[in-house]
Amino acid sequence: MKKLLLLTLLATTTLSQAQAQDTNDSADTDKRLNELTDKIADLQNDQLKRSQLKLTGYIQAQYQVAEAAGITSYAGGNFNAGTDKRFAIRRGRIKMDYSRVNDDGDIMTQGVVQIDYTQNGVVLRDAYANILEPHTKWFGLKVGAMDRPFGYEVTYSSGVRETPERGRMSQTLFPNEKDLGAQLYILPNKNSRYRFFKVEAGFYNGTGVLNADYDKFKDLITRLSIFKNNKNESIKYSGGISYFNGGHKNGTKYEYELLNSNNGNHYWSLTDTNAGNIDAKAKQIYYGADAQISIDWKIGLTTIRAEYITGIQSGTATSSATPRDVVTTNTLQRNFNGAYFYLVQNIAQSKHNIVIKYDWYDPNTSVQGSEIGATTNGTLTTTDIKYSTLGIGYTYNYDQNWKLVIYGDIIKNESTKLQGYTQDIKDNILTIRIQYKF
Amino acid sequence: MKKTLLALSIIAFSTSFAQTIKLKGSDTILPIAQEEASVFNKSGKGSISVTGGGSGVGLAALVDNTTDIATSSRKIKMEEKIKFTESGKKIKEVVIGKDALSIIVNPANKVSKLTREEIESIYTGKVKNWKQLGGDDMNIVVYGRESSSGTFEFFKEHVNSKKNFASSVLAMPATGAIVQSVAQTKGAIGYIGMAYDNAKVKQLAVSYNGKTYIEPTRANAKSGAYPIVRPLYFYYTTSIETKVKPFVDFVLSKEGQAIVDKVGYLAL
Repeated sequence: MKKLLLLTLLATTTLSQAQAQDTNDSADTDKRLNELTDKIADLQNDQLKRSQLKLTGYIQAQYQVAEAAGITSYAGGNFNAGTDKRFAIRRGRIKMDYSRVNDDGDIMTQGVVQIDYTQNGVVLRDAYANILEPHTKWFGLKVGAMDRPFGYEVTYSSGVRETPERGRMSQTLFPNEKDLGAQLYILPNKNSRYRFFKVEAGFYNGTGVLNADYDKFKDLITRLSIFKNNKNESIKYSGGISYFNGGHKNGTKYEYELLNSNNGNHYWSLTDTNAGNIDAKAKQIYYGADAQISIDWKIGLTTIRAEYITGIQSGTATSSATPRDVVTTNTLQRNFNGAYFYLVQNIAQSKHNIVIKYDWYDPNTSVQGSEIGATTNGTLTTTDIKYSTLGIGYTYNYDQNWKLVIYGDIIKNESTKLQGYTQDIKDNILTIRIQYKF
Repeated sequence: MKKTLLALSIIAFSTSFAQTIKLKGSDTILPIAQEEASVFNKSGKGSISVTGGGSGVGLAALVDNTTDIATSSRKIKMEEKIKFTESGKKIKEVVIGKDALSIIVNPANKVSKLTREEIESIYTGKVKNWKQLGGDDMNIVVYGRESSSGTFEFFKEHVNSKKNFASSVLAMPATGAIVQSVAQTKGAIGYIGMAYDNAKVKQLAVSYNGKTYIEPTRANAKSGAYPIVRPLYFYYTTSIETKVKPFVDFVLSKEGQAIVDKVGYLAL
């Protein structure tokens, strides 16, 4: 009996201990599982934050040969006197993009900063915040330093563009492409059947991203664009119309008008010297239209782009470019036009591509080349000369990182009566560029 | 001796690592890819790893070289083709099978057939009660996929006439979740790949001409009578064709196509 009691006691004690042990083990497992779940949640949050922040960029190292030393150039800046060959870091971009994206892939909020590091220093390229209206997800606001929403070439990234530089027209009207301002846009959300158009409208300083504004005038820039693909995704076509209404403070109180002399040559005539003119607006009004088409077929991807801009541009006697800083010399208003045409042909879906581009920029459509330098009073200058450029290039896309570009600019200027510009000047350029994108 | 063994191990590891073919993309193709990979791996011809994420995710991974084959339940988009050209990559498209989309409801629902227009009116939010379609008086609970899904894009384009979904449509992360939700919700409707069909849900006959209703059977889908059928794709870059071709050839082989059928999709 004692033995039985002893055994029973022993069994009960052992069982009780085992149960206690089981309970302890279970609680311990639950605790560890909870800890593990928390850790996984933390890791998921970290991963989400990392995926929201993107660091991208590209480096463009190049060697250029100019037809003559010290030439004025739109292919990466003027050559220094005595220099006809040069190595350069054309662009060294780093872009930080923090975006919060919803389940449908719409960017709800975004902050972007882009810096450019080259041998010329470090400059800001972009610094903007972007927010999407959360209900319909059709309307957005962008503030800060960003692309001016005019035309196609101005906003097309240098990291993917097939030519080394934007054309003379784009560089003249929109130096450095970027500006400080605020923009509202309408872009149907990703699930909308109407996601084939975009409307952008904004006000900008007009001085670019590196200069503070110096007058009370702001530039209004608007663009309506459409973009569609055909049903079997082999043709992509897009296009847009743009309008720019802006200007800057006059450089002096003197206002000039382009008049016709008895012998038919134009000249600048002083028409007004009112002291108040110095605070008046020197007009810049542009109208633009652009179109693009890409066709994927057996011979490889073919892309054609064209853009035409016309309007009124205010500049000085020595430059028709949009001024980045306060103007202190006489302001002249010119009618201008310009255009470009791209043909980019991928060769049989290989890594090889051929690009042909033709562009022109006529800063003063009212005058012929033969009038420039023909008169001595109210004279027209090199600023009024029309230029056209034929670019022929080859690109080799080694992979998603490396790209080689070999590109020649054959530049023609109008023949004028100005000394040094009576015939085509020697300013052709060959560019060999290697790009690493990350 | 140890050094020799170590060297052999490294070579063996490197060889096996080099032969691993990575597949990423469509969740619709996931069951086919997994089954094909399982059989292929067992045959000793190579090693396949398979992950989902959505068709767009797979194609983006192919641009970034983080997968060898992108699986997609929709045709590659023009924007994606341009990215491949910019990366210097020539891609190859292979149709590996077909999928039919079924419209499913809860088995308790009286409605057993719908026209395309009626389906569209449900997904655009115009029709909100089954009573309007000859069913019981109960609200329609509409399920769909997330917009990153190829199935979503196919359904929107081919069934919903590219029209926007109503904001009340519940976006589910996977087809399995739609099946489960429809099975548990009396007034629910959803769309799924035919391979995901099971007895817990009821498939509807569909009419594209308003007269003839076609049952979503495999025979009807194969014959072309059932209208909601789409091709399924593999995409890979030609630079690694030698590496991926044995697996692609296997999927296209008689044995591989039998697996496509077995998993519930339509062989070529």
